[in-house]
Amino acid sequence: MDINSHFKILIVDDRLENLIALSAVLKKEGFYSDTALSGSEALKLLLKNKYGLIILDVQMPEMNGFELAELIKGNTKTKDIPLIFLSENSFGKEFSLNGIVVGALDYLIKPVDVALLILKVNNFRKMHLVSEDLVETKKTFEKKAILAQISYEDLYFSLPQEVFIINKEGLIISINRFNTLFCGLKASELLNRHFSISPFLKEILGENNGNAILRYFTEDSKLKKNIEFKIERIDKTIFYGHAVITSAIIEGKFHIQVSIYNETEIKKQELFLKQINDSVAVKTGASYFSEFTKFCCEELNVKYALVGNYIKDQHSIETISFRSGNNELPIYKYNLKNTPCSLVLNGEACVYPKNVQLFFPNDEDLKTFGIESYLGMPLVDENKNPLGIIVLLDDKPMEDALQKEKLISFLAPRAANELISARVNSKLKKSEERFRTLFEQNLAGVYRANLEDIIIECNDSFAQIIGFNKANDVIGKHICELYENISHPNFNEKLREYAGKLTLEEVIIKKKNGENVYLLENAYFIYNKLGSEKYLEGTIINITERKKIEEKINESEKRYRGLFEIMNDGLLYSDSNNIILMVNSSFCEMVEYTKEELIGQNGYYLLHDDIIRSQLIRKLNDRKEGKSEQYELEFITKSGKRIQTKINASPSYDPDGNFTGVSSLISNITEQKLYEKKLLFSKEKFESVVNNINDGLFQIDLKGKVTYYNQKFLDIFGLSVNCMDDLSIDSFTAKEYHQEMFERHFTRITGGEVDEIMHYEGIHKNGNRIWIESKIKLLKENNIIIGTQSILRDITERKKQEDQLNKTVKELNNRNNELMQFNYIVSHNLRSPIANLIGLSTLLNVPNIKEDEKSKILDYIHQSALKMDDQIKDLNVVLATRSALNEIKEKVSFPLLIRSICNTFSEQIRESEIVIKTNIQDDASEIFSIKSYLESILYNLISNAIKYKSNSRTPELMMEISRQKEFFVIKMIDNGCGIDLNLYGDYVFGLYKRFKLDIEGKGLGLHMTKNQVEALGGTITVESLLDKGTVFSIILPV
Amino acid sequence: MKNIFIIDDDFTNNFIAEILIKSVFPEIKLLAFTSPEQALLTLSNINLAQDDIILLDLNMPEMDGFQFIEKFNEKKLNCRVFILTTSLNPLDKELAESKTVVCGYILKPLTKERIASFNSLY
Repeated sequence: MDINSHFKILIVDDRLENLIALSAVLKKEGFYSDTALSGSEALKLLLKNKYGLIILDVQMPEMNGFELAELIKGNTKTKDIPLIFLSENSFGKEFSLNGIVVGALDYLIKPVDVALLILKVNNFRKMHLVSEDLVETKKTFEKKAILAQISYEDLYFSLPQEVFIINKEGLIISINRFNTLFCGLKASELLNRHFSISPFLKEILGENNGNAILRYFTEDSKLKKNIEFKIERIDKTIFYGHAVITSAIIEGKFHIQVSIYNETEIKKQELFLKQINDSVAVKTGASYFSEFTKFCCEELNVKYALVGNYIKDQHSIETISFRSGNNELPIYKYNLKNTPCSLVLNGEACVYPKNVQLFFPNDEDLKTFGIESYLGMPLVDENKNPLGIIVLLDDKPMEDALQKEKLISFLAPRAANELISARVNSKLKKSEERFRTLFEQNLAGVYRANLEDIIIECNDSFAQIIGFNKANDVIGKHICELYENISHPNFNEKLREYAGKLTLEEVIIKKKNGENVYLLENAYFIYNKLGSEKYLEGTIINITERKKIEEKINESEKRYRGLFEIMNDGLLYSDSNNIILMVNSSFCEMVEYTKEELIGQNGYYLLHDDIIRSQLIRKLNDRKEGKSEQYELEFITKSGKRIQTKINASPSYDPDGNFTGVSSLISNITEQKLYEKKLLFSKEKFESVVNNINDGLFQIDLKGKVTYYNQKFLDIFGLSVNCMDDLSIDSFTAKEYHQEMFERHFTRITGGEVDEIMHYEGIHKNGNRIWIESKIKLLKENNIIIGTQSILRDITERKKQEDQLNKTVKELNNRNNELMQFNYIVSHNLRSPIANLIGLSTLLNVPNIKEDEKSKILDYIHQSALKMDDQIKDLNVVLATRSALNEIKEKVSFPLLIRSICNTFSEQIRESEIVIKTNIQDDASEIFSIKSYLESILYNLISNAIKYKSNSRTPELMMEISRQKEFFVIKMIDNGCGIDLNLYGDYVFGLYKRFKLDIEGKGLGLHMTKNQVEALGGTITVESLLDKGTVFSIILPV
Repeated sequence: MKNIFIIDDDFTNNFIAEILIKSVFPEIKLLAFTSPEQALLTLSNINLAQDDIILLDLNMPEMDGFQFIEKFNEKKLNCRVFILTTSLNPLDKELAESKTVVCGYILKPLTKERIASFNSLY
């Protein structure tokens, strides 16, 4: 932006040609101007616009220049606008006085010397800029000014930055450290040596010859240099620093003050943020993210970085940029199931600094890429809906993972919006913000002096600034009579030094009363026609007040005070009598007092109650003995609130090593305390609740070790507190549930879904099995999964009842099925002969029926009747076995029973040539059971073995009877034709099911057998292979 | 309608059906099977007309009526099938009527009236 656009000039002249000429000249020099042909027109413009300078003709009709000037100076809005008068008359004393009285600042004689005009306008422009700047900074300045009243010498040695004071010869005359981190040398090695002894200082100050740089500062003492640097130290570590080089006037002499701030940590972060920001600022879309991941890999030193899009309906992530070091990997898409990313997309960052695979055993990608550590950050929109994800992955444990998380979290909003992150920018700006030079407004003094250093013209302001009342008091006097020069050379010297140049500089003079006055001086030379100098003209502004403050600041801690101010923590410095000497704004905010209210007060009495005061007095003694300490302290604010703080107190010393006071860093931890209190309360509450609830509760860590349990938990398993060391979840879980428990906890940990409630068998300490119902929940600490928590309940009794109920339901179901079968028999098998009987009897009425057919009909009627009778008998048998209650149990010998059955089959056995073998264990030869049923069962099975023998080999039947604990096992193994279980599996034991048409049978035998086995409380199963043989296994209770 | 086939493991039933059908349709060709396997073999080797009729029992050993229909469909055979059964089980009726090839469900005993309706049904 054109800097002159704020500086607009108003030209007032009654002659149009003059206006055109002047505005053309000014325009050529880059100035903007408005013109007015009369005083009244000028006033109108003045009301409307803002001007930095007015050039006005003295001789005008209606209202002359002075009259106009008086009006301008009388108006508060315009009174500060400087004026340049144009006069046709030669310059005279009275005239000029007249001008000065009404506040004019300058004058020119017509015809206008263009070079001089431009010189003067330039001059005013600079002053204008200064005063504009002043308005902006006035507020800040006023604030700072209060602080400046305090001497900061005491703090000099406890400053966070390292300060080097270098004199004009380049010698280091003071250091606020005994050992300097920056130079790596001891103060004693540096003091009174040339700064070039330290290569780092040499580098910072830029030149081998210190005099050059010193002159630089002498010439423009308000200039300061900020250098951000990066050096490699002897031990190869990188030191990031920020050096502030200012001039400091100590005992009236110029010195250079070099303050070194260790910003290594901040810089590293900043640099990273800045680099990312810079390199991606103009980029969008893929290239933005590509740069982003590149920087993540390089700067955060991780192997992989990716930014991915969340595809909601597929519950998967598609990478926008996936990077391994310098290589952009192809777009990769993966499902979120079983991945750590699925947790991240719930809206929280997740960090697994190591062993991430252990947490997500089902995530194949982690295995494929050999991932060891994981950091994920969600990218969300303003409504917190997930948009995507930033992931950092490494094949080794991740160092500083939480710090990285913080960094990434800074970048996440930017990445999410793909806009320049306001946060990043503001952070960068903050660090770059430096103090601005402060100026003080003062009425400018104008003077003209001749080559003999005699003032020939000046205004009253000039006279007042240098310590006189009126212009007349100084006009005609030699400069030596007026003040002593300190930095201000004689005009002649100036002339030689700055011949022909317009300068703006700071100078110091000493008034006759001994007071130092700081001036901002603008001086230039007026030439005669031959080109040799004629006289010197200058404008001065009094900047003494500001300089005084600046000097104070410069002397000690100008730099770090700013740092204190922007610190979030409170800072308090008090002297050995507890009088507060300095506080920063953060502390003021904390305790609700203003700086003025605090400074000069006894902090112990103002900010603490009696009890704490007495403690503090003891602590002060510790300070005096040189101890630093960190402790928690309660403050009472102005409004009476009590705030909890963490305080870092350390003693301060003057350069001679005397105790001067205590500097304290104070962080407000009230909220934290409150939270801790709440936490403690809720923990206590929680504990009392968990110990009083009826449910057991335990927590396990990732290895399955129990880390927490309540009393009820102990009660359930009969455990006591002293056997809880190293207790793992397996120790109280029945073995067959170990795998399931493990999987369940793991699934939960890895974010998978598990059934809320699980039933399993636990082992009581007395060895009994107990039924447990448990609910499982994930345990997290600082977003890191630390294990699971289970709530459990002993449901053994309930389970028993349930079992009983299930048994009853099963029995009822069986009964129901039997009834259905019975129904079926009635509907089909019994109806069949009846339907035939009806059909046959109808046939008798058919005309023309043949005789032989008639007899056939009668024969069929007879057969059908017989069949019906058979079936009714069968049904009777079936129904009779339904209830074994009435039958009497007795001792039955298996060998005897089998022999008697074989006797009844003797004819069939002989015919079929079947070989029947028995293998009866000694302890299984006798059973206490219902003999008729047992007989029927064996009869049917032996009969089947004979009936369904294979025709291609010698039939064999092996009967094995053994006893296992509480059961008898009877196996009937034959080598017969077998049953196709694929085809008939469901029906083998069904009523009226037959599988061989060529063999006689009603399909009743196996059904009856099953009924009888079940009536005895046993089970029967079948295994068979077609054309190989069949095995019936019967299990009967003892 | 030229042929009627009877498939039932019950000889008595087949005897009754034969006599009754002959009394209604004296010209009709009649074939009774007690084995469904045998019936399938025969049916797939003759020219079965679309309006021919099969009277099929459901409850048979070896292969029940439904298994028979499955095989029948597999062989892409087509004619009118009537279920002739004693079963009062509603599930049987429901299942039978869901088969496209089944034209009717007749509860035993078979009657002349029912036989007479075979023609009009077509």
